[in-house]
Amino acid sequence: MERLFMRKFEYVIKNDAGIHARPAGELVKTSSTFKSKITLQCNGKEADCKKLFSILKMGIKKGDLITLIFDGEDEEEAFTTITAQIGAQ
Amino acid sequence: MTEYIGIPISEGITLGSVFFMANTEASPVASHIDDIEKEIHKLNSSLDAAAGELNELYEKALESEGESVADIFMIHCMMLQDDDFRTRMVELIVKERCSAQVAVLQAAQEFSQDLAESGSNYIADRGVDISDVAQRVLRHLNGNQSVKQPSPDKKIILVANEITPSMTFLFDRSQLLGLVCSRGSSTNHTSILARSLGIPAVITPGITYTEDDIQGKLCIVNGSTGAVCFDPDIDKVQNAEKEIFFFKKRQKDLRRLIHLPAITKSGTKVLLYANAGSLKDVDEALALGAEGIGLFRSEFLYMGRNTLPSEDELADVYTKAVKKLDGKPLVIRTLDIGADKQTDCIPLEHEENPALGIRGLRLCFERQDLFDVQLKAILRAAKAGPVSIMFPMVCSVSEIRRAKASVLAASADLEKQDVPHSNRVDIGIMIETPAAAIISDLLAKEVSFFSIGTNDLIQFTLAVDRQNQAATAYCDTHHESILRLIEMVIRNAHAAGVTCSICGELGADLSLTERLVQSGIDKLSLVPNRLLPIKQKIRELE
Repeated sequence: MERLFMRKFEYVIKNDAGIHARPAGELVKTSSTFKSKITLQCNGKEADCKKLFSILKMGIKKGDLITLIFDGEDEEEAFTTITAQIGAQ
Repeated sequence: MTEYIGIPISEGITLGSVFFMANTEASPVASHIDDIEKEIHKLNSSLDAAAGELNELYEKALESEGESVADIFMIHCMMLQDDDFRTRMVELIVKERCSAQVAVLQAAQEFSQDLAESGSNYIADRGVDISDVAQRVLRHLNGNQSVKQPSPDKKIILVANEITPSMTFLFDRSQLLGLVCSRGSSTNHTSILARSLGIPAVITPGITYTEDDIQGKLCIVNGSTGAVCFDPDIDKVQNAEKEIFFFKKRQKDLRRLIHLPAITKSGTKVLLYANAGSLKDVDEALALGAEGIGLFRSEFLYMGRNTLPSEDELADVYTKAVKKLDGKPLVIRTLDIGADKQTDCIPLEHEENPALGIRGLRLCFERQDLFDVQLKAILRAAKAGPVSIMFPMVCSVSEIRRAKASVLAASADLEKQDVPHSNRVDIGIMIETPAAAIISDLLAKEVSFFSIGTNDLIQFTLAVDRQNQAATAYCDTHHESILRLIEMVIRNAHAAGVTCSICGELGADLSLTERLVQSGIDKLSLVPNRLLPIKQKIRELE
């Protein structure tokens, strides 16, 4: 169940290779430092941002719209850190 | 002597002794086990040991090769620590009562399969990383047999059925003379590595190499033709030595030409531009002395994605290209989708014969929304330096006028929105239909340059589908009709004061260079790696 004020972030992938191994690895590394559950949604599928294979299997390509959902006690901090990391790419 | 013809993936030729590396060091132990707890414990300690090893490799690679290479090992380590992956291995041991070895291989296979089905080629190629990681764990499970290594003072040709990133890290890279493998693609690690080291590499699909057959044998790898020869006879060896000598000499001679003009002995100058399908191509072209980009294939920004690129995104990439070129001209060809070029973000109606259907400029007229966005992005980039617009698949004067009207409308739109841009762009067209070639005298009055797209011009003139393998014999690219059309287009261009270039593959054909230069061609736009050979040829002409 989505709470009303759940932190959400939408982003269109600009990288030529999509979310390939390196960006996925970075996302996992950062996500794992937070307690919150961080979910990635794309093309009707969902992945756990703390699991590398879960993200890779999505096959996210350039131009895909992804949504990140942050849920948990440190969600604000997770949101700020991860959106900054993705935005910098 | 055994010879294979494979797919060349990195240019050059080399002769040396084979160092074969097996992908599986040991076949897994028989399946059924009794002590599940013990097997899981064995698995976990091997996984941890392998992860520790990978951390060390990461540090080592970070120091010697930099972040991009080191990251491969970080990913490997994360794969080993992935919850889903580990859970699946344990589950296999518990449910199937199989050995840890079998569980590792089975889980690795399942996860590779998932990636292969992900729909992204980049990710599908990571299957090789999973098998690399699995092999590392297996080595630990089997009591950490050390992998055989070549003696450090010996140069080798690395051969494996699948070359994994870890393999190339077991020894000093300067020991590598060439690479041969039977599985892989042009985006995978082997190809990238070979090209970055500048050593020849060939993929020979379907061949299974074994240690007994090839270990330590002499081998010739020709990364230009795709030929791989094991145990060559003396004639082959002498031949290869000669070729290596000439290849090296040729490379050296060619590199001397980078900053020299393409000018014949009697003083006729031909401008040499490059074709580019990405920003990386622009870098490569500049490094090889290109005087501009004569064909910027704008399709790459639309390929392999589900949503359309925005005006900002396009303007950003075009501007980057302009800035890289630092004053040298950039010719952007407007969207040339249709026929053999398709993408998810621009769905096309099914056509019985798409090569003769809605493609190139015709598609832009059908999808004026796409065209407007692209034209605005180009005009914005033109603020940063010299940019020309080139329309593909033109057949008539009215099409050019309609396309030019779109450019004016795009400019007016930007003006209204107060977006910084420049209207100082040259307009040109591709001459790639017989119709355009025949009325090139009329078309020349409408534009400031022509660029002959020989690939389509050949297929339309000779009525030969270039995708049809069976018709290859009828595709005589040097057909007199083609050469006469080219000469006619050049004459008509010059009569109207318009420059004429060739951006198709014929321009890179050394056997035609002399005739093209004699016909008065002003410019050739080539794939970057043909720039220097063509320049050398032109400089040898009278």
